[in-house]
Amino acid sequence: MKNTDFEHLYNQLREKYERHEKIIVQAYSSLKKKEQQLKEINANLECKQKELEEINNELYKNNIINQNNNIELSRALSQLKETQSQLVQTEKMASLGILTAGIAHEINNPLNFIMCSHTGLTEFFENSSYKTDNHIKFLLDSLKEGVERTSSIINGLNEFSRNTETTKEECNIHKIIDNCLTILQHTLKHRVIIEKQFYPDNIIISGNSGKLHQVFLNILTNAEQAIENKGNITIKTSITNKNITITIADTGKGIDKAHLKKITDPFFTTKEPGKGTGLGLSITYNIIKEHNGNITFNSEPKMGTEVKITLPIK
Amino acid sequence: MTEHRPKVLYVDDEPINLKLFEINFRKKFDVITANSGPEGLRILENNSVDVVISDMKMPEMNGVTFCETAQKKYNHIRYYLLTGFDSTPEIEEAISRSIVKKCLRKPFNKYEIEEVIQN
Repeated sequence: MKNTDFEHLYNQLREKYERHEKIIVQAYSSLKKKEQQLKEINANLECKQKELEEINNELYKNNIINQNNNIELSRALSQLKETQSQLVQTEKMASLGILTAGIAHEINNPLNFIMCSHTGLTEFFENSSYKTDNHIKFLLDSLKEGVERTSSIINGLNEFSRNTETTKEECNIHKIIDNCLTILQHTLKHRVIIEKQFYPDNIIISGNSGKLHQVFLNILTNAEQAIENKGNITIKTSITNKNITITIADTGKGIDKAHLKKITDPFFTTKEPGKGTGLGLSITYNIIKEHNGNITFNSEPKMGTEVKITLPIK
Repeated sequence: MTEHRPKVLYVDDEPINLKLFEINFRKKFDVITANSGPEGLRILENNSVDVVISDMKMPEMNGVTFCETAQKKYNHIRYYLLTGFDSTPEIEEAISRSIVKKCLRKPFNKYEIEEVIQN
């Protein structure tokens, strides 16, 4: 090989080398650029992923909050329903109170005419030759008996619908039960035998007289309605330690086991539409709780129901 | 010396109640009756009365307002209500402010009324 040939080859190789080198450098810088771009994209992606995670967390949290809100909302709704039913009942009792107070006044006035006349006539006959006449005595006594019986019904009605919020009234439990029996007399007569096994002395507790009247009227009404034809209601009262216990047992149709747990729920009723609102025992339960007492139900279908109420004496 | 016969003013808007009150108590007491609060106030101006017994629900002036008005002028008289109503906050306030000594109930009890008059 000649020197010039060698040089030529060298130059050719060198040119090739330089071209390749250039290409490699270019490729390298392009790669670097791409790498840089990738890094940037990657960082961006990471950033997006973090954002997504945050959004996800937020959504999860919101979901829990929503679930809690739902639970709270349904709780508030049922509370609202219960409060509404109690308001309706309170309103009803208030109207009844106004009505009975009005009726009481209107009836007590003519009763006063009869009672004053009876007193005047009694005095007149005592100073006359009819003093020992048995018929006159019977007529006068009947007048008095009639006035006293009517007056006691009116007083009972007044007690029943008295609308105060106090729980510090003197409540005579036997008198309250008797007032309720007087009011229910027309549904009990000739059908239900009432057996009273009362504690020998009066039982006086501090409470809300009108509301306790409602309690016993509700329980006695249920007992009466549970008896389809004829039956008995036994009312027992006793004092134990610091509590009083009142047990009202009927020989009626009883309560199904499945229903027993629900009977104090507002609006629960097995009565026909129009016969019961499903509020009676729910209100009864609340009144007993307001008086720091307790109420339990024992029932056997077809045998009867026993309701036991305990109330603190003080 | 004759015993002092208490003089009683009875106020009620029902004429039958007025007449019956008079018949029942005239033997023991001097009974004057009025059919309204304003009428009662006019009677008090010219009569020396020991005890006032008033109905509660009357037109023009109810029992408490009548007793309160009368008491301002005649503080020595004892005032009672005789009403067919169960006690009301207004009556209870009148008792606690010593305007009225007691609230008696209709239908009346002769012995209870005699006792408060003779008290």
